[in-house]
Amino acid sequence: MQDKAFDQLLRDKFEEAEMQPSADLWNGISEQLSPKPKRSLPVYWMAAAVAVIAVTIGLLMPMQKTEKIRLQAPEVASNDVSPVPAVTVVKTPVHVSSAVADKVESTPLIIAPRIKLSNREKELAALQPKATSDRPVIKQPEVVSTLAKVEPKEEAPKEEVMIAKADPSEYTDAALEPEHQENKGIRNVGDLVNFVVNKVDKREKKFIQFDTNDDNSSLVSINIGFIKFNKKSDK
Amino acid sequence: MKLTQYSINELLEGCKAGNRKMQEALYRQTAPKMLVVCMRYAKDKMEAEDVLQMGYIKIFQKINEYRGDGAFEGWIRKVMVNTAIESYRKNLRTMNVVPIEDAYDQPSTGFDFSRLGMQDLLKVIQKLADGYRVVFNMYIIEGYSHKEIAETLGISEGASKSQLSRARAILKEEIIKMEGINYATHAG
Repeated sequence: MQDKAFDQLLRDKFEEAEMQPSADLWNGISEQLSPKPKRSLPVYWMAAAVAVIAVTIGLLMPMQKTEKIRLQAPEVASNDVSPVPAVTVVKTPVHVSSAVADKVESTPLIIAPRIKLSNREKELAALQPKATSDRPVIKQPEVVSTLAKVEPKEEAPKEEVMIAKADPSEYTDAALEPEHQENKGIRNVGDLVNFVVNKVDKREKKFIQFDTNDDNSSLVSINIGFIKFNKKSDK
Repeated sequence: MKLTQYSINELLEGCKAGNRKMQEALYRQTAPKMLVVCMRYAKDKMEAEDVLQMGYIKIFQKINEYRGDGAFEGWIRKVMVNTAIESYRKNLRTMNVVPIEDAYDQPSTGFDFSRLGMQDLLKVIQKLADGYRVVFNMYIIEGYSHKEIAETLGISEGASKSQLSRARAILKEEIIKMEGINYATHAG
């Protein structure tokens, strides 16, 4: 049979052909022609869910804060060893015990405006309380910090020497350990939320994300359409 | 097009005004034919009805674009065909040749080629690979040129031609097989 005749035969088969659609199909069309306002509800549910998560994080945060300050202490103190003493006065009181801190904190607050006035006499006067404040407690953390700073410096060359001695096995093992810890999986609430969100939300900017590299989970980003927050992009 | 209850103009004006009763009347009048159009492009009735639903929503949304040039049913059919092609492009699957031995599970009642049932023919068409089926429909039934098919589907004209000839060959073979079975059942 020729193609043309065959084609014509097939066309004829469908010319007046009819089939009854399912009975409820019209209802589906009718519904879609006038969409109900119910669609907007999930957005509110999502917002509510985010609010609940945010409150939960807010409740967990204060407990973690105390730890964080202690972790920063050696860093700040060691940085302040070399610069102008005025800087140390302003920053160090934060780490001093509360009783001393009250005294020390009160003085720098007065110093700041005085310096701005560029009154040299007053500036000199302002330097005095610094000296007194340095004496009692502040110097102690400095000493400790310098010691802490010296120790790693001594260790660092040791490691380098070891590499030079062509004994890389210990060094590489030590270097790999932190990576293993990172791949541990779900360790805390942040990891759990990240895991669930990753499963549900395939977008690049997730609905909600936490940074769990340190032991304390911290909020990294939120993306629920009208509310967007991203710690990384803000930096 | 038989429009028993309302005239074409009544239906057209009613649908343009967004009258739900008129929209339903138009649907009831035209859907059975349009379902066959969708069936030719789809793998099964479920998929065909999805396309049918999308097509009617488009028809009612775009009805003001119909200027009355050409038959109203022709316009409806055009929207439906475009919806079916669009749907095919969206769920573009890999163009694997699908085994078609299931095509004649239910033998047709007639054994004469000219008496081949539309339902049987649909079954054979639906068993074709998606790429073959869409080219077959566009060229043989809708009357598109290979150039138009190539542009619409984003393939080469050569691919359109080769897919059509393979679709045709498979259809012929399957129809002849089907007749043989039907003849055997009748004779035996």
